[in-house]
Amino acid sequence: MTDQELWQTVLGEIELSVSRANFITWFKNTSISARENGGVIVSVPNGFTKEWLENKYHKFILKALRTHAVDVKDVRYIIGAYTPPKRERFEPISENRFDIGSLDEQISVAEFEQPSLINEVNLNTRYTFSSFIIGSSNELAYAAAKAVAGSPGTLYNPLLIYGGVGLGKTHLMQAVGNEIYQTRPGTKIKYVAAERFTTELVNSIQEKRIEEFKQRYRQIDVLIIDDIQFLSGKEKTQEEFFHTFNHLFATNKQIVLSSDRPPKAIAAIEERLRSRLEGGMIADVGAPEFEMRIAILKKKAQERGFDLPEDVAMYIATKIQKNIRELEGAVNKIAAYVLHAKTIPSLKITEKILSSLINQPKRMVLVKDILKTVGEFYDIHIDEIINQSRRKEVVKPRQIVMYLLREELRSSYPAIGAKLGNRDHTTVMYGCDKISKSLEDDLTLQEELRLIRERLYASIG
Amino acid sequence: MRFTCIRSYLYDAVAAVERVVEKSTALPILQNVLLKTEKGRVLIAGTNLEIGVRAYCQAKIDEEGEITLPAKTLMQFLTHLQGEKVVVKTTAATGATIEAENASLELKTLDAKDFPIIPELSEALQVTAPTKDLHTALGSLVFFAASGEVRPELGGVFCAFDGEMVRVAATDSFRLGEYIFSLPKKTNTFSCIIPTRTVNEFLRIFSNGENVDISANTNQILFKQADRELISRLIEGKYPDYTAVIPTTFATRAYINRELFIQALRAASACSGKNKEVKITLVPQKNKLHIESRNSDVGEYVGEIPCEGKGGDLAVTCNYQYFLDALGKLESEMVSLEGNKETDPLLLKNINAIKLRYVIMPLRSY
Repeated sequence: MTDQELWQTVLGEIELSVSRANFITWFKNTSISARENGGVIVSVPNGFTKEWLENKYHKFILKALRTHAVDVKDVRYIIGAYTPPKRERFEPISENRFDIGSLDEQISVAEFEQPSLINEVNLNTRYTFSSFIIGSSNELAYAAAKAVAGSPGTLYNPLLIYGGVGLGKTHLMQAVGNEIYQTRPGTKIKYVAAERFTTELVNSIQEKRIEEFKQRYRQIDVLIIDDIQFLSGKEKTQEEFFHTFNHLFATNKQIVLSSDRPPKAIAAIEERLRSRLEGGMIADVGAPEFEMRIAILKKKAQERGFDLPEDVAMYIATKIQKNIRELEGAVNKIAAYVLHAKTIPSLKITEKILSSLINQPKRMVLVKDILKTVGEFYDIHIDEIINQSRRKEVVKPRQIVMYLLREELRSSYPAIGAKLGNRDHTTVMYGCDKISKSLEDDLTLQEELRLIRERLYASIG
Repeated sequence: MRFTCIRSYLYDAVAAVERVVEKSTALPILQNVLLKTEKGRVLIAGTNLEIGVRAYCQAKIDEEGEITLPAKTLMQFLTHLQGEKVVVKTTAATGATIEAENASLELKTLDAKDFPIIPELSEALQVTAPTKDLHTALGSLVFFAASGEVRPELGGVFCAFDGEMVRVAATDSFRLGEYIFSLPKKTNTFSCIIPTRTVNEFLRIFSNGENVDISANTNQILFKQADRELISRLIEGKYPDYTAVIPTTFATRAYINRELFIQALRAASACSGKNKEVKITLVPQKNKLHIESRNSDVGEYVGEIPCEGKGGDLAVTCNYQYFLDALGKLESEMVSLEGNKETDPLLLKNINAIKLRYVIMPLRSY
């Protein structure tokens, strides 16, 4: 076993028996630096670690070493030489010379390494402002995005667009990028999904190129990050993002972000980051209203080279209400039919073509599904929801059950009362009312209900 | 544990320690400070595992012991407390109360056995340095150190002890500052790079008193004075031989009124671009100094201040912030600015003084 393998095994063993925080704090950046005649020298990053390992974990380490290498008799600790991260790219030309204008040089070196940041932009040219359909549910977001594209970095910074899936967040953000790319050539634009940001960060940490990563992001003029809710719970990424954010913000660089919910409702996101997000312009994109859905359908059809008859468009717009991507899917299906049959489908045929999309065979939500999901969510037993207890922790879930039964199943108040332990219909009315009222301004409750609905539909899906 | 002490003593001690304690760390105990009775005094210690601070506080000890308390909460409480005396005592197993004249605070404690041991220095060199000189040197230079992680060895202030002389320097490779002072007693030759954060803590903790005792080995440094101790890691690496860039001869020199120079640069900054560039032209024959800045979005600034000059004309483009930072630390009424070519470093210093010198690289002209 090599020293490295031995230390890995020992660390693996220690990790199991100390707390995670302790392990990270005291065993990070340790290694075996020498081993001979039964003596092992462990290299540690600083004096604190040395003291702690010597005083608190010595016996433990010695024992763990012995189980894997019997000949070990003694362990000593030294403060290891700090090896600076590899940085071939930024190595100054000469150590002794005071580089003339080396700032310029560093930037030009960086640019040399990445001659075409703009190629990395990642923008889909399909997404432009002219192909975006405006309605009352998204006009604010559109106006804000347009303004940002007109004068990046000055007007609304950061711009945060939020809204549900398939409502055009990505379209708007990419349109901002595309517009700036067109009107201000030479601007460094980067579009990246939050998930990819995390992956890049993790890779750069692994390869010890974190500095390069920082430099890369801090030279950007317009940074567009999609789906930042995925940063939730990823603390290191959030921290790095926070610093990048501050840096760009301080130098008046434009930042555009999207999320599927408002910053307040993103769980596990650091307060300072949240406040930064809330500091700029927040615009939401909502579900499209009926006329807008028709406009979208017609436009998409035109892009595909055929005209959608009014009745067909109306049919689709009535059936698909919440998601523009699905509207696009419907148009695609019809386009395929047009291509194949060389004729525009009638309403009857449309119904048939889209039957799989629209009338997805779906099991009905049952009362017991709702009871089960809510019960599991709040970790209480179904019987408790039904019985007469008035404990606070039971009352709220019970009212949520009432609300969901009313909203999802359209049950009558007396019917709901009957299902929930023969309660009076007025009790049920009060419960439903209470939840709808609190939903208006209680973001936590909104989030909880969203999660419950998600689970509910996942469970029967 | 139980002790009584003067509120302001405890406050000062906790304030000295509290700043190094970080708010969020993986290990909860690192958010705490240690309070421990020790030979008739109370030791207060805190660390972020890079820097450790120990402060002692005079107290009347009734019962020996040690506890750890959340640093920020403790500090907040002490800041707004009235009355002259406070009593700190442990209650039950996991709590402590701090009682003042008309308020008391009950805090949760974490086991002091889990508190990191602040290391002692072994095989260290000892130096005693005058506080005032060291404080001025570090204070005048710390902001010249590099802040990025690109060149870790520049992320701190360099101190070289050589016989009776100490050279302190900091650079981020665009500008450089150097401060030289002498020691009352000869010492061995050694040098070290002190991290910026440590320097800032030093400036805060050791602003008074005649001398500071320094001990250092290759990894760590300890500053000690009366009842305060600051221990820190050192930055490893070789500090560049910066003396080579300090110009020793000059073709042009100007003596400039410091205040006027600052005013002119600030005015010029209004029209400067994102590189903060201003053009400084020395015309010694006419005893004039021109400052210009230009920004296509904003406009153009032209200014002129009198100076006392010598040598040929010299025009350089520089970052005005570098000048302002340096001028703010210089003290004399007139400062001396010396240079050679437009691409060569400029030397800025107090007139008739040699302790503190600043070297500023011109920007490459566009």
